Amino acid sequence: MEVGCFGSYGVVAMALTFVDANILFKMFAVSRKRLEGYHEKGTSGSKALDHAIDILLNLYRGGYSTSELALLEACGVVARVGNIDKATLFLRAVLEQEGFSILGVTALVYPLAYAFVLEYGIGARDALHLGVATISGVNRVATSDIEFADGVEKIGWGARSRGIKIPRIVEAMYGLSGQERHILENRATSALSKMETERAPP
Amino acid sequence: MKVWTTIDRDLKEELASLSKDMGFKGETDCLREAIRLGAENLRAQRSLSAGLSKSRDSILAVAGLLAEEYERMKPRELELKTRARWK
Repeated sequence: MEVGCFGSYGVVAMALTFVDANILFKMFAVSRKRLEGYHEKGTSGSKALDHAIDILLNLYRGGYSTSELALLEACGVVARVGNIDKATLFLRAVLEQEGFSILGVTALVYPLAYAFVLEYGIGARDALHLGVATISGVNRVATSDIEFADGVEKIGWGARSRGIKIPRIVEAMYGLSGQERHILENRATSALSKMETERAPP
Repeated sequence: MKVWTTIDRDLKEELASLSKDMGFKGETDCLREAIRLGAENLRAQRSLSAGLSKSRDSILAVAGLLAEEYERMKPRELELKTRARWK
């Protein structure tokens, strides 16, 4: 488990990692044979699956999360490349996994996602995923998607250098008060300044 | 308030700074807003999995569910398929 920082009185702040849809899928692609190889030789024979196994074996300890959006995305892929029964089994296993948080797409995610799109030009999907992570206290994004990882790092750099700003048009769109916008901007700037990316093997 | 006296010093300092920067009347108001926002997140999480019993290794219990599908994919095909519906 990742440990964030130690407070003045030895308080441990637990890190929260966001696991993307692709890694989620790979966690279910680990066969018994691959697992045995990992335990016996230290590798399953695939770097991508080794990364998924590392997460899989530590899930129950807590500190890992995904979002209902990423889960829906992964379910959609499973239904298309596998079948609907597998997608249902997949969803149930994720929901029942101890220590694995499912982050909701709350109302505050949307103004942030618009800000990421309008200020940084990233895609809607990536903006929504990062919006959920930002609002939910995630401090590390694990992804095998290069474009998403690049986007997270670009916005993290922007947060550190000039802070996150909600465009006026978005403020008006959601009827945010000045203080609400200020709170959201500060919260996002603080979270994204410290956001790390974990680039998983594709 | 007990929570106020037991949180660590770094967090107290951050709350003091946030209260000032964001125009709250005092640190208690700032803390109340932080708790309200935190509670929103927790409620959202609770509503997503309420009613389902948790188990330590529910994913491991179906290990290999998608092994065949994954083995058939080319490198980066999964990432492309995941993005495909958003294009």
